[in-house]
Amino acid sequence: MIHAEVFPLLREGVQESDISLARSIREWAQAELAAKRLELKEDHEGLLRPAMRSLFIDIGLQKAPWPEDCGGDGQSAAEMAHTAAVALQEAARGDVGIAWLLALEWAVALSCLEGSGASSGAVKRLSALHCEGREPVVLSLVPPALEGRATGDLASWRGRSVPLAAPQGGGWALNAGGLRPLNSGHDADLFCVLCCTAEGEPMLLAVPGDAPELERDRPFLKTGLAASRNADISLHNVNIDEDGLLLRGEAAWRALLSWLYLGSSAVCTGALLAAYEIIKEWGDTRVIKGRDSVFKDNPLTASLMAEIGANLLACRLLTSSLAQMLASPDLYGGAGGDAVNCAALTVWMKVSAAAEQALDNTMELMASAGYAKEWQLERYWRDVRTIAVSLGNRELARMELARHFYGSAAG
Amino acid sequence: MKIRSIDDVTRPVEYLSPLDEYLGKMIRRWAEEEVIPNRRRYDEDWRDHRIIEPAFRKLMGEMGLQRMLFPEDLGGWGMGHSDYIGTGACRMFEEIARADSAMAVAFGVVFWPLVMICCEPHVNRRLCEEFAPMFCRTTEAVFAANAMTEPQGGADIENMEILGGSTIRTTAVLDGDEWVINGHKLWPTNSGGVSSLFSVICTTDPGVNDPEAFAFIFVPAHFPGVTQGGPYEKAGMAADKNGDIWFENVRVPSWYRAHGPGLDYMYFKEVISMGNLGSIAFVSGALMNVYERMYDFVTEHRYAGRLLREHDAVAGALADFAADLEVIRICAYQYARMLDRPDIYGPRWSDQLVAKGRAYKYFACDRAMADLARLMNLMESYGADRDWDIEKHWRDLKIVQLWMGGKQLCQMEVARWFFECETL
Ligand SMILES: Cc1cc2nc3c(=O)[nH]c(=O)nc-3n(C[C@H](O)[C@H](O)[C@H](O)COP(=O)(O)OP(=O)(O)OC[C@H]3O[C@@H](n4cnc5c(N)ncnc54)[C@H](O)[C@@H]3O)c2cc1C
Repeated sequence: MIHAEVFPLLREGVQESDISLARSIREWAQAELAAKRLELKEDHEGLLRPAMRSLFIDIGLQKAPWPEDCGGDGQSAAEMAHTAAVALQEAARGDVGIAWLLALEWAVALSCLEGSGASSGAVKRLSALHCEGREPVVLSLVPPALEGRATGDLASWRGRSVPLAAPQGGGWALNAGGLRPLNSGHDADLFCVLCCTAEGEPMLLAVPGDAPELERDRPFLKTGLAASRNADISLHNVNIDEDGLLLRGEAAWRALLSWLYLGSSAVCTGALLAAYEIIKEWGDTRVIKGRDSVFKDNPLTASLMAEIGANLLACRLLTSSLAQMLASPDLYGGAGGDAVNCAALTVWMKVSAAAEQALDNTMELMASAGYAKEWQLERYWRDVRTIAVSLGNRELARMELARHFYGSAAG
Repeated sequence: MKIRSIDDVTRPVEYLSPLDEYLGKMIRRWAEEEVIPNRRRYDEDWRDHRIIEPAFRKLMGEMGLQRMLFPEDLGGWGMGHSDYIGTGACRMFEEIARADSAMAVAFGVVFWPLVMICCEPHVNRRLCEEFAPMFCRTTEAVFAANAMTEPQGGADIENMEILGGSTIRTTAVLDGDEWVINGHKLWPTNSGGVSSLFSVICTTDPGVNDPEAFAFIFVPAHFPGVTQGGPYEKAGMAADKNGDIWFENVRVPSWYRAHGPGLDYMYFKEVISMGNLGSIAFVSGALMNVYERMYDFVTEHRYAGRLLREHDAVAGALADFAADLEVIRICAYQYARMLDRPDIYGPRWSDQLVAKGRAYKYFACDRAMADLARLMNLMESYGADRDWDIEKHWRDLKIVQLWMGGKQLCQMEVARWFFECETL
């Protein structure tokens, strides 16, 4: 494992295959991204899509969690927890956006496979999509949103607005506009939309990217994550049959979030690993205060560099710990249970804040070089901020934690 | 109905210049007509400035603000003689930065070299006469740049107390009645092919820690031996171009040196004070726009049926931001006042005013970055969406925190002054 001697990775549960996978991903990052980055920068078609194809298809990560009898690798949730923690860190070193798209796919897959209400048809359909093709599959998650943007037939769920799932035939109809996906609204193959029945039961429904009733807005410009070209979407009475039901019930949605918090934590930790490599080189070679003071030997800058390292190590340990919890439902309960979900949320809040802080500090220490695209750091700074904001308002998320820790009724 | 506006954010009104209202309104109208409707396309315009350039032309050339510092009889507005140069600049920088802080810095840096020769009590009349026509006899935007930073490090060059110019590698050698300049600068605002005039920080005796060897020399960009590289691509601040400048045996008249041995070094610290004032005002102005845009956001979005701003925990974060904005704005004008009144606070180039400027600057920047992180997070995925402008201010302001020596140099200078440290 890269830098394992400096930033130990908790090894319990991590398989040799995870370590060799990490090595392959490191080679992928070098060959497919680093070598071409200066020329192609964040070019989606020229750089990111081909790199995704190679990671998702050639290395095969897209099919890792899907059942073997459907063409997947059949990795269990316990195995996947550790694989995700290790592999996504490495992938994010190469490109944060690509790694995050993979984290989203795996979160959907693992929560679906956990038996959280997905119909067997849905599992078959999703497996086929992920295991049979030769192109990377892009899933887009449409989470509950702050009220005020979306229009149409909406329901309120846990203070937020979601499309109303109206029964139709054996399935449901969705009719809502102005929905903001978490990612990839512009080019997703499948949208996973959190909606809610009139009775208040949440469900995750799959809307195919080629559904004629799906309308995509123009992609909007955003801070980072070039691999995820996002756009708002509208659903004009889309019909979804039973095989489009991916998750049902609040626990199932929370399970998905727990997996997503794990993946996102690993991705942010990976971004910090990349930042560490950049600041380490800077610290070894930059000279300040005249000729004699190597950057890392100045007490003030060394102190901040130490803080960056400490944040990285904390992120890594927290991510590994969460992986262990998710890998051991017999000890901690399922991914959708309150305890694990709140632990996952806590880990995510701490990791994202530490990653943002460490990237801020790294940029500060590199001054203009940190701000220049050429030095590659600023991309991680923008990407991590984009994930951190996309996954939700921390002030509101703390209400979940207050409820769990203190029985608070604050909403 | 919205009652509050950015004009409710406090500044000490008793300090304000008689021109404050007039200039403020004029620039606000310009910003609202020429910049705000287009600024979301600026990032992609970083290399060519096709969209950005006309707005500069209007502000600087047509409205004539680039003439401001020069004496009236040379076609300027005579602000170099004014007792309100600090507070006046503060208002202008704020208004521009509200729309785009990169434009504010590009505009502000036009005056950075000129402060050295246009401001009382160290007016260099001959150089004013030499360069006034360049800025005052045209309706095109004309830019200047202050070239300090070098490849081996910018902070050291500003770390004058300890290093005394000993790390400057750009040399000036007197040959008859000409300076011959050789060196490589990078990053100055308004480089990347934009500037017509540079002030170049040189040494007349490389490697020595001696104020006498520190030279501040003007170099017109079209002189033989000056080569400018293209602009760098950056995380933000697209309206400011930054690049490399090489000086190869560039010859300028000997009187292009601002003031001479010892004095260049002394007055250059005033340039630093002005840079700190500008930085605080850019932060304050940008945060005023953040206030406007956040007000809209938390009023247009709801959580659990209530306006987002009515959620107590969210309101706590909004209050923290508003408190910082209040303090930063007051601080900007307070510092401006301190620079306006040397009779009360001492010369603008004093170590005290340099250190205090550094303190306010890094305080303002640190608070702004922390606030912006929190506000972007309140907005969820709209926080990273360029249409809401907050993310732009976040990307742009980050460099205000990093430039002029970075935070650590600021910390060292502040500690040095307040705690009388001698070796930092
Ligand atoms: C948009 C933009 C506009 C700019 N405008 C100008 C301009 O107009 N003119 C100009 O000359 N330059 C300009 N710069 C350059 C900028 O001012 C420098 O980048 C800055 O001064 C830091 O110098 P550096 O990048 O060489 O970093 P370094 O000098 O190598 O410093 C790196 C870091 O080292 C630390 N450090 C430095 N000294 C010490 C110390 N003594 N003790 C402890 N830590 C220390 C600080 O954290 C600092 O951030 C601009 C840059 C940008 C991006």
